[in-house]
Amino acid sequence: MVYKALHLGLSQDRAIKKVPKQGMRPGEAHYLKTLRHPGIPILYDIEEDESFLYLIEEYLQGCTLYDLVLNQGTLLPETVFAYGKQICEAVHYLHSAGNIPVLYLDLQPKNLMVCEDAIKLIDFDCAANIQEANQSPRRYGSPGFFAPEQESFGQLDERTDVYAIGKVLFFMSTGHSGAPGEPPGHGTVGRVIRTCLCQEKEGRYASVRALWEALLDAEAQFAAGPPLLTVGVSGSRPGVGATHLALGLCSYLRSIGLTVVYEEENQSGAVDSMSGALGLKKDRGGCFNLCGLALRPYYGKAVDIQDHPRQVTVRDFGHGRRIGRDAQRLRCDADIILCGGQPWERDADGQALAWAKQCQRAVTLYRNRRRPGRLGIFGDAWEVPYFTDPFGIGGQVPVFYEQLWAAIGGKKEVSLRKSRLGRIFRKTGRKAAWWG
Amino acid sequence: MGTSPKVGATHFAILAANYLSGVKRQKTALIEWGAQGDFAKIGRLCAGRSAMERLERRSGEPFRVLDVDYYKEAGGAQLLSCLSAGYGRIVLDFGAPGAGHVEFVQCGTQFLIGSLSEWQLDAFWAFNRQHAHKKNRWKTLVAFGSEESRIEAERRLGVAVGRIPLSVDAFAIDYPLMHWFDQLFG
Repeated sequence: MVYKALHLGLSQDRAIKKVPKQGMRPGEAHYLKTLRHPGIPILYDIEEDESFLYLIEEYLQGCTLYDLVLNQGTLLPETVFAYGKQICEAVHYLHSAGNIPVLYLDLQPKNLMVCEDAIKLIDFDCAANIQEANQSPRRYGSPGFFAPEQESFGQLDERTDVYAIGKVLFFMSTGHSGAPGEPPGHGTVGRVIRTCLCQEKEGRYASVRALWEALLDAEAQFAAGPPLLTVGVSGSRPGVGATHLALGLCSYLRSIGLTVVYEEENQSGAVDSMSGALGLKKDRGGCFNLCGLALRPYYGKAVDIQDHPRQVTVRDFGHGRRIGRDAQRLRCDADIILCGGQPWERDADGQALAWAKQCQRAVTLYRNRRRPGRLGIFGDAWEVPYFTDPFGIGGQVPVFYEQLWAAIGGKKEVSLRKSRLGRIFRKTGRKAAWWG
Repeated sequence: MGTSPKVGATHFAILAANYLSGVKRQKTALIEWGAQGDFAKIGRLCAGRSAMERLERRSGEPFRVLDVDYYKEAGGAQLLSCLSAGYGRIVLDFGAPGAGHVEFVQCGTQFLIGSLSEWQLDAFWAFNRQHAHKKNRWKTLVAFGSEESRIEAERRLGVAVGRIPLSVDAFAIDYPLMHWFDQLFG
């Protein structure tokens, strides 16, 4: 049981954890008191009565990683890297703080607190030094997150925690702990997870430090590249569904392993409204993170914040047109023009189609196509299938987006530009530096 | 309003206007109350000397920098015209305490900008002694001075004294500022 308390002298909140005496190994609480690391809550003092120990700890304001992912969906790759590195730093500290490595042995999202941008490791109930952990007749761990050797009573070492960190990385990327043999996801983070989750310890990173370095390398590769493609989505009139279509495209691109940033380039305030309703908070890039997508609200010229690394930018222009200086600044590699398709929308559709002629590469879509056949100016104009949730596309919708993605040249363009980038990475290469 | 000259009231007013315009996307006017002269300098620098000369001939016209409309050396008449001009937010920069105090206390949200630097502490406490009965009306903010001084000010005043984050450029809203203003404006 954990109580929230107030330190009267310092006017600071404290957490008081009440633990049965028989549940703790001798000297364990005093060992925890010696730990000092930004990723581990400070244990200030220990009080006791006949039956219980009272651990007076730093009070953490935030939520567990589990709740965070439950509420806002999978995390952005840069957040996965940032949190992953912090977890490694805290676990590495445990492994190296004493003469004998202390293994954490129960790493899972409910034991990780997210406090602003910092990750804190909580609940050291299962932690034990490597000798005690291997001598113990009982094995602990959380289903879905413990390593194979914990279940099979194999030898435990630092690589047991490496496996669990891989599972937590997997959870942050996908929203679940994954079934045995399930592919660990796309991209650079997927490669790191795959190594962590090797069934045999010998196939994993040799230490948490090696995992940290791999994450650093993968992050550098991820962040170094410029955006591969910028896609603009415009509607012929307000309310035709450009935002719905754009968000659906983002979800599809995320599902095929691309890193996408949705940029609101219209004054509808949809992103602010949605984030307010869902209680989302902005990250350091000024974006809201929902279901693994970075959603950037419409900012003015005074806003000066770092851009998110991304492979594809989807710009939602609403029903706005880019004119004057904005036309150059907001030029896209490809444009999707969404028309209403009803007879009473003909004027608005006509204007949108005329504007589409000025775009570098454009595909025309209809919300409601009245007659079959070739209606668009730039080839076949398709009807957008009906779907209710742009963040959870299913059924035939991914097929539609796959065809749309191919039609705007995304498939070809991304693989072409990726191969160029790959050559650059191979030539430059980067060496990771371990923290001090 | 600042508790004394040179405490950063104009810098804060410009930051607030840029936040409201750039992040909240509200049509924003920034009014320089009285003849402080700062906005004329900003206008010459940002809008250009010739543009400012044109504006001189058409009194009451604002100049625009990064989507914010700046009204220099303005007063009640400009405020009235702004109220009917469809602005989402109007920020009034009163500068140092003076003639605009009545209008200051009538604003929907009031920010008192102070400085806790040693050479400005006397002015900070003098203003707060003089207006002790109004201290709950406004939010008191400081940019300068030590953290110990800020905590001591909170204790003696009995109200929260917020710390304005470091901002080297009043025309750029970075992440820490955006986060801070999000909490300030709620």
